[in-house]
Amino acid sequence: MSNDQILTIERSFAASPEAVFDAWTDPAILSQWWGPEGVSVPDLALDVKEGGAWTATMYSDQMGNKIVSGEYKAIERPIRLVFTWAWSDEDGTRGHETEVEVLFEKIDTGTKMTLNQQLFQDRSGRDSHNSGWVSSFTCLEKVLS
Amino acid sequence: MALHQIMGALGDPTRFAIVEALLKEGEKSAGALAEPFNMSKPAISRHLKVLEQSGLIERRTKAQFRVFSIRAAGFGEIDDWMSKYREFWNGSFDRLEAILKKSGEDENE
Repeated sequence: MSNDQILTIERSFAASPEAVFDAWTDPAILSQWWGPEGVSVPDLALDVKEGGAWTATMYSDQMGNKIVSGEYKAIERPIRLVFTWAWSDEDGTRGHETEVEVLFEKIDTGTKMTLNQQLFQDRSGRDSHNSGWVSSFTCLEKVLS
Repeated sequence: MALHQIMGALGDPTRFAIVEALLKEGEKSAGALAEPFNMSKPAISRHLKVLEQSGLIERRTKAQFRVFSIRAAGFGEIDDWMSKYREFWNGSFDRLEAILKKSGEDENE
């Protein structure tokens, strides 16, 4: 695994990898949990296949309706799911695109899920450096503190 | 400066390397920053200008030299981006956990 993933979140669930994976790809389940408390998903369209598009409308009282969309890059049930991600502006223009990779690993208590969100969608931008963002951000913490 | 403009500035390999050098080694002159690259002085100056405009680095004049350093405030945008997503996903996963727990209980009934 390369070390250029900028945002990594790990979480364990007491459910099988299949059940956790399906929670991402079944619109009836995904619309129930996507977004933090206070966010609902009034509209969700998933074309779950490689190269397939997905679009979600997320609503909250503070931000109103916001559209986020992307394309599926890899669907390997029940171990790995990769898709692109970009919020749209009010005028419908898609903003900066990132790539989200979700890994599902079977553990004794259920499933360990790892989410990696990469800042650079452009591979040439990502692969051009070896040291990667993780080390940069360690330095950045020092700069900011 | 909007996040996508900052990302655009960082998306170039030379500029990314310049930022990394400044993050790791601190303040540097334009000449020292140019050293690892086989590039003309005007080309490096252009990259430095883009980074300066993005708010990620700043310059000052030390004796007769231009020296560049990281501008922490510029990185605040990236930091905000990360915190927002961290919040977004952690909040989502709390809800996912509740749903998976509930469906697990239903199955066992």
